[in-house]
Amino acid sequence: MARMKFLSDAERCIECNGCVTACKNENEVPWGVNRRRVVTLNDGEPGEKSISVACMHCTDAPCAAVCPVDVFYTTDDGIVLHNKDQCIGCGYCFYACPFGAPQYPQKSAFGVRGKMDKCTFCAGGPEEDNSQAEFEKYGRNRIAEGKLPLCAEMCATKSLLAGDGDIVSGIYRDRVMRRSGRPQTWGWDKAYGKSE
Amino acid sequence: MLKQLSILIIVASSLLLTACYEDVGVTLHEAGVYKGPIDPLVNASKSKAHKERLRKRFDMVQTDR
Repeated sequence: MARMKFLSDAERCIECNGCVTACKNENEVPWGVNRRRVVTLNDGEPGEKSISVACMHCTDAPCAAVCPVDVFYTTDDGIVLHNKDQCIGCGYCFYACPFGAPQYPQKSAFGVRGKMDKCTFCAGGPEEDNSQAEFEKYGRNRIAEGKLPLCAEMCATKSLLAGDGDIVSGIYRDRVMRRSGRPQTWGWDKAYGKSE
Repeated sequence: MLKQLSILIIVASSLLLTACYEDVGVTLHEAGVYKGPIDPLVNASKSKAHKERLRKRFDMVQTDR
């Protein structure tokens, strides 16, 4: 059974933040909430590496395991979604998630966080597909339209891939095989492989 | 008169205390079981046509370069 997965290729990511912008624009994500972020290691040094991070739609999602009100469910494609109407904003999922994916729209006193928001793999939530209610709560449902997440579709270097995990891992395996090793440990050849 | 009043108080208080009955049955919480409304996408994502459509989309926009 195919499972939808993201893969961010650190050799190709140029930290343009196009994925972040595409996500915010497509889903009209509120100010202060970032469903996707680009994390850079050794920023400013030669050989710095960037990676685009959002909800990784875990097979055995720790957020779902700790949720006291069971708002999480998984589609047949392996996309982890949640119901905002049930969410109590306790923040357990935020502490459980190794990627820091769950976000909260409010930063009020006394821990009033508001309903949790996270990447939906552009698959909306438990409302009628492509309805106004679904868009307002969860953002665009591109999966129901037969499209894939816009962050990956917009990625200029194809660093970020989103789709069937078997196909995505196959592409990455081919890239690794094509890539040159030393002495050039980073740069064009490393990212795109030597031209044949 | 006093006897009738005390009987009335006993009857009234016993009737009132019936509201304090507590159900001792345990409500079992099914941990990790989603209880919200069903997402129409869950059923739609089971169809072969849906999977095929997404695969074609992937080939169209995310081919490697």
